[in-house]
Amino acid sequence: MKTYTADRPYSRLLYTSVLNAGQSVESPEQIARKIASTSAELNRQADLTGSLVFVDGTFIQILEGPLAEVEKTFERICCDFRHVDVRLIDVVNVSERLFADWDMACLCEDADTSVKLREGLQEIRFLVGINVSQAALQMRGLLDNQSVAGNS
Amino acid sequence: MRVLTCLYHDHNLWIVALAAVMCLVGSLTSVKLFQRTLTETGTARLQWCFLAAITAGAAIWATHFIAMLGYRPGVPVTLDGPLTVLSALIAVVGTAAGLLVASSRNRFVAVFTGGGIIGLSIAAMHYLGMFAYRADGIVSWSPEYVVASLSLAIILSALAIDRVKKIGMSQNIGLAAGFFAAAIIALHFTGMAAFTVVPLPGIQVGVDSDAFSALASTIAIVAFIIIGAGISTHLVERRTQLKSETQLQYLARHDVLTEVANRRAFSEALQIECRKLDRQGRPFALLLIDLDRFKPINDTLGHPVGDIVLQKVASRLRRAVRRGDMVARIGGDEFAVIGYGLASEEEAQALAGQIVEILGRPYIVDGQVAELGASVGASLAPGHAHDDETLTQYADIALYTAKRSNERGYRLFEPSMLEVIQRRRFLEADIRRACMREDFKIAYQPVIDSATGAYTGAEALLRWTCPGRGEVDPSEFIPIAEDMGLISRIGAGVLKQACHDASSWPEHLDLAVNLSPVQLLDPRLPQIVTQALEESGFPAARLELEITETALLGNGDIVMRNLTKLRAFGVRISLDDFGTGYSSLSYLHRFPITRIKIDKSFVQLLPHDTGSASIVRAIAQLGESLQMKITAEGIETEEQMAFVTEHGCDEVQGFLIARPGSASAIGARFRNEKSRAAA
Repeated sequence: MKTYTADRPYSRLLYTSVLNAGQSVESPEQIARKIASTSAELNRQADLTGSLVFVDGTFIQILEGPLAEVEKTFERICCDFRHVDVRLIDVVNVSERLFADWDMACLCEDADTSVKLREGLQEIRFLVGINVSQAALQMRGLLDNQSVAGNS
Repeated sequence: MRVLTCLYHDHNLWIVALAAVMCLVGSLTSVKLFQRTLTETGTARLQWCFLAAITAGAAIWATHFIAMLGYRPGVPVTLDGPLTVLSALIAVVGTAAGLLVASSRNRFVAVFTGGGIIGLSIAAMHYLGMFAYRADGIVSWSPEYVVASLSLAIILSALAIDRVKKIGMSQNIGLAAGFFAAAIIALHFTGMAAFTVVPLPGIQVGVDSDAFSALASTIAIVAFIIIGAGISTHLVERRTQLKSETQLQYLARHDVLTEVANRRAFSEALQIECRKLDRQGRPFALLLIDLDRFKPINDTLGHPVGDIVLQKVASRLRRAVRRGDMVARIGGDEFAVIGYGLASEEEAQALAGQIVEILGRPYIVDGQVAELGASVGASLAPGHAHDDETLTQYADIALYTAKRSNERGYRLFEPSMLEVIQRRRFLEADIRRACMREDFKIAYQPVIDSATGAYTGAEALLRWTCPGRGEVDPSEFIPIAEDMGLISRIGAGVLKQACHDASSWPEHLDLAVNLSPVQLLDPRLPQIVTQALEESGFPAARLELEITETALLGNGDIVMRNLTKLRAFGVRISLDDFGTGYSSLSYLHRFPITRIKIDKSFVQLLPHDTGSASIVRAIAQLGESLQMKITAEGIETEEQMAFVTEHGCDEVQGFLIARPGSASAIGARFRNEKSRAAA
């Protein structure tokens, strides 16, 4: 049993799911970005942070914050039929947030995505299956690169 | 006559009407409170009695004084304060006493004594009130009217009590209140007819004292307030009662844990919907939902976690269904949904699919992850049936089929399922009979050394030829026998018989017997095995028990204890059907296994199917490195034989070598070989 400890006050959860676009007229990327922005809004209120990767129709999302809030948010995702094939990859207690600066960072693959970013996203997708913490670090790395690129 | 004359001539009729209204409202309230008093017991009765008496007393008192305001005696009038107050007290105390007596079980006592006391207290109040009424004139009383007034009051009060007793808690209080009001009014005006006052000469006629008017009005107002309080007490009490009734009703119809409808509410809703079918014909779907792997969650994570999981299941179900559909929890981990207006199979399947999907998603409770699944069985009304029982039965059959099939999920009822169920039911009966008659037979399939081709032993296989249906495949009847709890008994019989048969075989030949997972969980297994060995004299070292990987999955501790004991006797353990189940290497390490048998499904695809070829190669290498023997089952061709021999399988069995034969056939075969070898 994972117990709550003072030096590890946060929970970090990673899950993957597949987008079920249904009859929506919007493009999958539009839906993904919308999900990310709604999620950011809700996370702000719930003291959660995290990031969302959308690649090849698959979501890879990290949620971090107080356990109760992480649980509540994950349950909400589980009740959302825009996601299918929801797989909980990992939930651990951590000492600090990896995405403290992002309510919900969004790394979505679309037509404008650079080849480098696309490769990075593909790598995350691959990493999730074998080394979760590496995948999380990789996400953070991509975000840092992006903000550097954006500032320059 | 005089009563009416008195009423008409000596009274202001407007004020008299006001008194009558006052009396009626007061009576209605009082009777309502009487009702409560008579149905309550103990302290509650005393409390209600107090309230009823205060209200009734106030009604009597106020009626009297309002009526007196309307009385025009033609002389100046004053009022004696203390006597007035005393008259009010008499009304209250007298009614209270009457009510207490009226609550007696004895009808006679209740009606006559109780009613009598109440009637007399109305009279006492009135006449005391009249003594307090000081008119400046010559007052005279006519006794016959006094007597008449008393009789009327007593009779009408008794009638009122009688009526209250009759109606119990029903709303129909009009008549009882009417009697009571009549008692008050009749007494008052008959009493007033008995009273005459002649003005004294010289005194101004027709002037009432202001003080009298003020006092009487105050009394009337106070009485109104008291009666108002009585009414509101009654209303407040009724509202609380209604509220708690609504609450009780909610509790009776909802599951406390998950807050969805409970089994009772569900059955009612289903019945109602079925009844509506005939009139309105609105179709609907019935879905029964059963959680898979819920029990292990309760067992390993604890009941509090299990409860929260159930709550989440219920809340997800509510998300999965459409607005207005009914979700109910009908058992520990069983739920049901009524999908209103669902007519087509596609719609029902879509809903069922949605439910399977959403319930199969992970649950996190306090940082712990619970994974479970759901099976759904659905039936349609009116498509499949019109009545609730058949619909439930069909949905149940569909659920059963869904649970049985390899790919868990949902199933819509199909008539063919009935045949399957029917066949199973007949099979069950036949199996039970076969078990009693010991109709099961054993066939032996020889095993040879792949290098030398010499026999190394034989595997005992269960065979059953059912009278009427012919030979039944073990893969069909063994699972049923397991479900029926008969497999341990059948297995013990097989073991005993096989040991007996094999004891006549040449001494270098081994016997392999299959164990079902159920047997492996039976703590009596080691004893059963030793008994079979002792009775037949067959040596433990030549016995090999075959188990499947699934048997190791469940309760590892009991299985481990059984296997360790068996190994201690010298019995060997082999892992059957290897490669089809979980094929976890950890099993090979943890449990005392001496042999692996490669499942025939791989062998049969040899040598052309590259996947099977590499699996067989890998298992053979595994056996070598773990120092376990490897047997290949189901060898049918020379090519397969060559492949498995080349890749290091120690022993082989299959149709290529020999088909399974009877005990006598196998015995003869083994003896022939021995004599040939000897020759």
